[in-house]
Amino acid sequence: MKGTYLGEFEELVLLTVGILFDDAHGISVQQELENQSGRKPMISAVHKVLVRLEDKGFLTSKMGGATTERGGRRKRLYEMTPAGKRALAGSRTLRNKMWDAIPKVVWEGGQL
Amino acid sequence: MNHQEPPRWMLQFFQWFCREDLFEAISGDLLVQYYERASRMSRARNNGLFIGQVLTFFQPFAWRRPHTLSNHSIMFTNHLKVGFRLIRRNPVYSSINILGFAIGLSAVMLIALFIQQELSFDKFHSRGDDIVRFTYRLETPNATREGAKLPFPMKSVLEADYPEVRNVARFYFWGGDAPLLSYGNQKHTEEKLYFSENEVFQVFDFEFLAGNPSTALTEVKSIILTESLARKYFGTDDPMGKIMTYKNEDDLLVTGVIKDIPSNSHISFDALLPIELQRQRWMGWGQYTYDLEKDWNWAGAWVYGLLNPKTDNLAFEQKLQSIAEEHLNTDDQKGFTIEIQSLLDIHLRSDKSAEPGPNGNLTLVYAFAVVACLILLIACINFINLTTAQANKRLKEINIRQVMGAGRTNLVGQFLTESMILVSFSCIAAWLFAFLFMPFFNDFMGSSLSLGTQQVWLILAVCIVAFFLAAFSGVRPSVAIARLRAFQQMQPVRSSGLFNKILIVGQFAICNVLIIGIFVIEGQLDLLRHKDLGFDKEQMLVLRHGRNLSADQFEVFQNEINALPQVENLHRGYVAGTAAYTNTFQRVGAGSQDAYSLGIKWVGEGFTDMFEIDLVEGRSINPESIADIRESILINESAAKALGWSNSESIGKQLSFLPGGASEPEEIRIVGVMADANFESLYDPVLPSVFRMPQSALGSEVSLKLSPKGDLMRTITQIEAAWDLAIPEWPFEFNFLDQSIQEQYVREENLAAAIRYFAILAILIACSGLFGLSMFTIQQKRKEIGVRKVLGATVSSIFVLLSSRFMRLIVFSFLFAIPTGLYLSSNWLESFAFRISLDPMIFVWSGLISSMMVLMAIGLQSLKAAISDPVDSLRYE
Repeated sequence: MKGTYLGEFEELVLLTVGILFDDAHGISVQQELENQSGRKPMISAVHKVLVRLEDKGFLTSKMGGATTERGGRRKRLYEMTPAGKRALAGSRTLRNKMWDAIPKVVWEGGQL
Repeated sequence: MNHQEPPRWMLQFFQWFCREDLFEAISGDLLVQYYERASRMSRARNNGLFIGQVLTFFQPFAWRRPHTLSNHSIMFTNHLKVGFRLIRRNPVYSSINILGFAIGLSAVMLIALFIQQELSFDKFHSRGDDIVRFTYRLETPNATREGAKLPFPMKSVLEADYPEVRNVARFYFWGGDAPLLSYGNQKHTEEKLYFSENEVFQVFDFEFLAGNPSTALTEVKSIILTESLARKYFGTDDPMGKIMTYKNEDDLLVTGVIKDIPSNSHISFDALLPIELQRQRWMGWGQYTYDLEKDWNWAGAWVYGLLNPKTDNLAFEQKLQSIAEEHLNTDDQKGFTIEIQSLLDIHLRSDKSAEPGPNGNLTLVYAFAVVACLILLIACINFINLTTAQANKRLKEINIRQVMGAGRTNLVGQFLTESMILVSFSCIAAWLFAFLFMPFFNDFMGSSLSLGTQQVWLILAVCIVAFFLAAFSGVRPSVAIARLRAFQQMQPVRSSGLFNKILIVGQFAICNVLIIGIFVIEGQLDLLRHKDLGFDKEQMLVLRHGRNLSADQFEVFQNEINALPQVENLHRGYVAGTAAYTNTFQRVGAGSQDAYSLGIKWVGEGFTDMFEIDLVEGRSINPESIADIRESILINESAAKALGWSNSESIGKQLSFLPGGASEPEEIRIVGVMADANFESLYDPVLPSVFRMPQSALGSEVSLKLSPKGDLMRTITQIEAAWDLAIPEWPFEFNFLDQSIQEQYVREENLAAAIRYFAILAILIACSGLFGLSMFTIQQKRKEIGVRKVLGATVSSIFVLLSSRFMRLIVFSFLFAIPTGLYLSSNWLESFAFRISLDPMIFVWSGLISSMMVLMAIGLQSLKAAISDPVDSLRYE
């Protein structure tokens, strides 16, 4: 079992898979990431992270329907696992907690 | 839809490397994007993007997995695991095995680098195969002389009459000169200022950083600097076009900067000056008639030629003899032939008089190659012996593996994996050691090696050696064990078979030869260091610029020096122990075929007093009488013998000879005979020599004898003050004579150091191997020792029992070492005219030393086993 640490890009991909719900595969993830964040990762980077997230147990996948645009090849559709949801929730909680811990004066000071 | 399709081969490549479970989905994604792009870009561009995308998937996550569940890979992982456990369980054994081989291998790597450096000499010249050096050979009835230099006019004759020669380039350099180069307030005596000409750059490949190779030496007063010399005088400034001063007299324009001469060049210089400058200086810029370009009597230049490709060297050499006939062989002297030698042969195969620098020595290269092979052999033997002993200890484990169904291939695989692990560790450690030892090695070899990635051949060679060793030491025991039936294996096999015994004997025979080598070389060096040369060399100071003193300046200097009580003596003329010049002499009245090659030394007043040489017959030359100076000479005893006279007979005899540059022979009369002294190297017997006084003292060395009492530093400061008073424009620089004489034997000192280190290394490796081996045999015999002790064996009898096995082998190895050592050392000693005799004690001592080492390696273990309590070893029976 690999470590359950979630990197920044991994977290974005995981969130995207959540957004796409029932049509999360390589290209759709890449496009949605571009829509959301404005940056377009390489398709290989997207697949790499999907594979890794699956290895870590945050995603599962199954093969979907084939179309002619895909040269008759099926998609691999990804879905979040409970562990994936927990990891996202954990990451969000951690961020909120740390966000709250920043003293107010920092924000005020930042305006100087 | 359109009908564009991505390149098929790329998809196939993708399928080849990509994980099966990922391939379909990913290639689908790529195709979607490909079809989408097809409408808005050219096919070529689209294909390019597609290929690029596929290549970005060429990374580990997408690679096909090996069949992780195959039996082979499971066994392999198991073998690896067991192998690493084994290393950890026996740290002493493992480190002896790994380090022993690593140290041996690193020594071999260093030697291999050294040999490669020696073999690479002058190979960087692109036309090297066609470059030759012209040399001469002189055969006289009683001696043969080979010289690397030829007269200057060789060039014009070669260029005019020999179409085989494309270019001729000459170098001139005289080691006795102390050329002063100055720029601004920077004043240095440069060691290696060579004179040459433009053609040098057509023949050789010396790389120019600035300046034009075809005209850089055209101007008479010009100079080409090497990079480091340029930096020394000009720092970061551009030296081009600057003016430097040569010997305080000529202003030279810097017309070129070249890269430093590579360390594997046989000819090496810091700066080049035009030969024409030297010619003009000697002609006094037109005042005198002496012209070196017309002087056939003086072999002063190294002459190199670039021949047309595919010239038949033998036929060409034949043709050259007409030059020798016409110009070199005179009525007075016959026997000259001109020879050519390939540039690539000079460094290792040429040992003529007046070589540009100390050449390498093919014998030394061979010797080192042999030493390297021996060390490698010892290290490999060690490794094999230790692995075999280790394998014998694991019979039970192997038996269980066999019972569980392991076949022969499986066992071989296991042992192979284990020895591969050990060897890999060794190789890494060896590389590290080689890196660490490199500076020391360079220091005593006088080499400038470096270890980097450019030596791919070395990495490859190390890997091949390592692979074969691992294969051999892994396969041998496993095959032997696998052949045994299961019930036999429960009994330990004889751990030290004949094969291992032979290996041990071989190992120690080599060690003993090396120890004998150390004794012989040290003894000989001791002789060279302390042999009474027959003249006084202690406390002798030689001035580097002494020859620049004019008669008046010398008088000033002499007066100042005479006032110093710490200076016992002052001499102007030949300095004992320095380079020898020879000339051909004839006995007057003995016919024209009579010729003797004798050394000629121009000595000053009081030479015999200065260097404390006895006059055994006759008288010395009277410095007050011009006639005596012109006509009289002294000879040494060897010269009297060479000329066929006794000491007393030779007094009054006359000789004739042709001095350099003169056209008429001179006749001289022997008035005294000097005791023999070794003025030259102890390699050669005493050179039969003639001692003559120059008619003017110009151009001769100045040496001073200091009193052993008194403050040396103060004395030197006072001499410097005297020097500055006499001739302030030349710097005060000096050498001590005993040091410069000792420098002649640097090569022997280095050889001794190298042999010493490598011998110690070899012995250490061999002993550590024996240590490991004895540890195992003794462990195997623990029960036997216990039983013997219970039955009443004494500690000493068990000690003898355990160590005698090895000691017998050592004694046996000695029988091989004596004749080999005898042969090799007498061979080496033959190159010296003065050599030690081979004392039988040398052999006794080396035998004792190696026995001591072995006793130390195995004794402690044996003793421990002998005094151990039998209860411990027999408890579980």
